[in-house]
Amino acid sequence: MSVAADTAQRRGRKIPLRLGKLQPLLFIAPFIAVLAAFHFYTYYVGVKMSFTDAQSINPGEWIGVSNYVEVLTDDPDFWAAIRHTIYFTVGGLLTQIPGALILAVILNGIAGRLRGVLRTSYYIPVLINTVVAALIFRMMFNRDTGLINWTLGRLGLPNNTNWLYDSAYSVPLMVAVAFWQWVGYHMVYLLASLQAIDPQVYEVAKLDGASPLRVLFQITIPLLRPALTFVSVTSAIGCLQVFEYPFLLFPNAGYGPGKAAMTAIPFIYRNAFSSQFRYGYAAAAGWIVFFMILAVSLLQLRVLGLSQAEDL
Amino acid sequence: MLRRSALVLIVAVLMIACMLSTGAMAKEKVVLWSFAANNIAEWEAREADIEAKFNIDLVIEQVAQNAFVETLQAAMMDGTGPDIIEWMIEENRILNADPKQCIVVPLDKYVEKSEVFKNVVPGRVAWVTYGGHVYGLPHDVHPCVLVYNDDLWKSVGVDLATIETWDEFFAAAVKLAEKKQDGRPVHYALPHIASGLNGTMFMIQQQAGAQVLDENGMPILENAEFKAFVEKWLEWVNLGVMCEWDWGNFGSLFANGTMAAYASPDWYLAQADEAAQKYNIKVRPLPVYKAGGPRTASWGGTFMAITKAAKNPDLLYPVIEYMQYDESAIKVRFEETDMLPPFAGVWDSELFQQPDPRFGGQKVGQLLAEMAKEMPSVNTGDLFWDVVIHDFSTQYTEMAAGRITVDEGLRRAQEAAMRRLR
Repeated sequence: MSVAADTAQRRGRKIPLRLGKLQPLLFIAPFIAVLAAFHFYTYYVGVKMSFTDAQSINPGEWIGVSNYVEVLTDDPDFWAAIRHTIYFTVGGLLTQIPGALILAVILNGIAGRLRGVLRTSYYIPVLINTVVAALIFRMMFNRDTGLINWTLGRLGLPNNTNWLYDSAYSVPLMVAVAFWQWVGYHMVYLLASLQAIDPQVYEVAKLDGASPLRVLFQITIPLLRPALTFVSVTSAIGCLQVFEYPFLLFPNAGYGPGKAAMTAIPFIYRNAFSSQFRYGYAAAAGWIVFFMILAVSLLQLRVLGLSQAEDL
Repeated sequence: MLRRSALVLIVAVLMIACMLSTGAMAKEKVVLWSFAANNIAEWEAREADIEAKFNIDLVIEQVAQNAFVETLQAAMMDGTGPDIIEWMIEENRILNADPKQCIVVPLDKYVEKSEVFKNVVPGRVAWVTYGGHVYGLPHDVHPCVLVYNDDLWKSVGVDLATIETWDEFFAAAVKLAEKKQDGRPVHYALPHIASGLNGTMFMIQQQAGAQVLDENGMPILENAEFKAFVEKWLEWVNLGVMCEWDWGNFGSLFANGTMAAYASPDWYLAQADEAAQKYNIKVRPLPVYKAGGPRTASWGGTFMAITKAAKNPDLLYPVIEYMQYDESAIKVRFEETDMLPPFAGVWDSELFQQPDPRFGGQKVGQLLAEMAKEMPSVNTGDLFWDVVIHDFSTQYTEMAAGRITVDEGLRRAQEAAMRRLR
C-alpha cells in the first residue's frame, strides 16, 4: 500500500479506483452494449434474412443472392420506386434549400421582435408530427370537400382537380408538403450561420459598390457553405427515406394513384408487411436502398466539398 | 384451548387460500386480440360470464387496426402471439389455403360437429373458407341497404323509393346535382372512395356478380363481366355526382346535405343519426345492377379465429362459438350496434321486427334480414386482398384519371396479380 493510500485510508476516505486505460471503455460500455444489441445485431439479422426466403411466420431457408437479383432485375416496382424517390429528393432539395436560404436572408435583414415572431412561425410546422401534417394535407387536397379546391372555386379558378388521385400530382404534392414542413428547419440553421458572418465583410462589400445579388452569390453563399452542406445532406437523406407522405397523404396507403407515390421505403414496407410478408425479399431491398443512400450522401459531400466546409 | 382454536383457524384459512389459489391457477389464460372497439366493448361486458362458463382467464387486448397484421406476425414469430384473434373478414392477409402457411388453425373438425355453426349463413362462411378449410367464425353478415335523405331527393322531384336500378338512380342523381355553388354540386348523390374497389364500388361490384378471382382463387381481372362493371362504374363516376369522403367527416356530410344518400351496411347506419334529427331519412334495398339481380351486398365485418400460438384449441373453439353466437348476446348486439347476426334462425325474432324511429318508423331489422337472404357470393382466396387493394386499385386510379384505358388497366392489374403466383 502506498503512503498516500495508507494516509487516505486512515483519514476514512475512499481509495479512487484506478483502471488505467480501461476506465473510458467502461464508461462507454453501456452505450456499446445497447448499440450492439439494437443496431449491430439487427444489422446481422437483416443481412442474414436477406439471403433467405423468409415469409410470414416461416423463418425461411438460405437462397443465396436470389432476392438481390430479383429486386434488381425482375421487379419493375423497385425501379419505379427508386425513380419516384429521386424525383422527390431532387424536388425537395430544389425547393427547400433555396426557400430556406431566401427566408433566412430576409429574416436576417429584419431587426427586433418581428424576426423572432417570423422565425417561430416558420419553425412551427417542424414541430407538427409528419403523420398529422400528411393527414391535414390529405383533407385539404380532397377534390370535393377540401380547402384547396374550395379556395380555387371562390377565386373563380378551375376547382375540379383531383389532387390525390391523379398520378401527375403525386410527387409534386409530396414535395409541397415537405417544403411546408421542413423549410423552417433549414432556415433556422442558415439564419444562425448568417448571423455568425462578420458584418464588416458586408460593409466592405457595400463600400466597394457590390450589388445585393453579388453580395448574395459572392459573400453570403460561400460563407454559408458549411451550413448549406449540412442542410443539403440531411435533407437529401430525409427525402431518400421518405415514408409518411406516400403512406398517409394518399388514401391507398403507400402507392398513390398508379403507384406514382411509391418511393423506396414504402416499397420495402409493402413487401414486408402489407402484402405477402416477404421478409427476406424486403430485407434485400432494404440493403440495396441503404447502399444507394450511402452512395448519394458520399457523392453529395464530395460535390459540396465537406473538407473545405470543415476548414471554414 | 384458545391457542389451539386459533391455530386450527389459521390452518383452515391457509388451506382455503391454497385451494382458491390453486383454483385460480387452474384457470387457463386466454388472450384475445381485436381491433374493433365496439366489439371489444361487447366482449368486456360479457367477460365475467365467459370466464365463468369456460373457467378461463380472458385477457382482451385492443391492437391498432393499421398495425394488426404486422403486430400479429411479429408476435407469432417470437412466440408471444395471442390465442384468439378477431380480424377483418375481407382483408384476409392472414388466411391461407395451406394450413401449414396459415397463422390460424383450421376449424374443420369443430364446425363439422357443431349444431350452432350449421345456422351460420353460408355466404358469410365462404369469406373464411380457403382451400376447403374453415378458418374462422364470422361475427356478422353486414347486408347493405340504401339510406337516403327523402327531403333532398323529393325537392328535385325524385322519389327514391320507386327507383329500381342503379342506372335509374344515377339518372336521378344528375338532377339532384344540378344545383351548383362555385361550380360544384351542392348535393351529391352518393359517397365515393376514389382509391379503388372499396365502399360503394365494392358493393355494386358484388351486385354485378363481377368477380376478381375465379372459384379456385385465381385472378381473372380481365373477364368480361368485371370489365363491363368497371366501365359502367367509371361512367357513373364521370357524372360528377359522387362525393369523396373521409372516415372523420362522413356523418357531417350526410347531416349537412352534402351527401343525399349512401349505401350502408348495418354497422354504418348510425352515421344517419345526426341527419335524422333534421331531415326525413329513409332506408330501402340497394337498387339492382341489372333486373332480377340481388338488392344487397356486404361491406366490412370480422371473424374470430384460433391462432397457432394457442395451446389448447379444443378448449377455445366452444369459447369463440359462445362469444360469437350466444343467442341472448347477439340480440343485445343488434340493439346496441344495428349489427345483424349471421344466424338466419333468429331473424324472425320479434326484436328484428321493431320500427326504427330514425328512419320514420321503418322496420330496419326486418329489411336487413330480408337483404341478408339475397347476399351475393364473392370468390375469395389467398390473393383476394392483394389483388383488390394493390393490383387493381393502383390501376383503377389511372383509369379513372383517363391516363389509361380500362383494357390496359385491367391487363396491368392481371399481370401484377399473376406475378404474385410466381
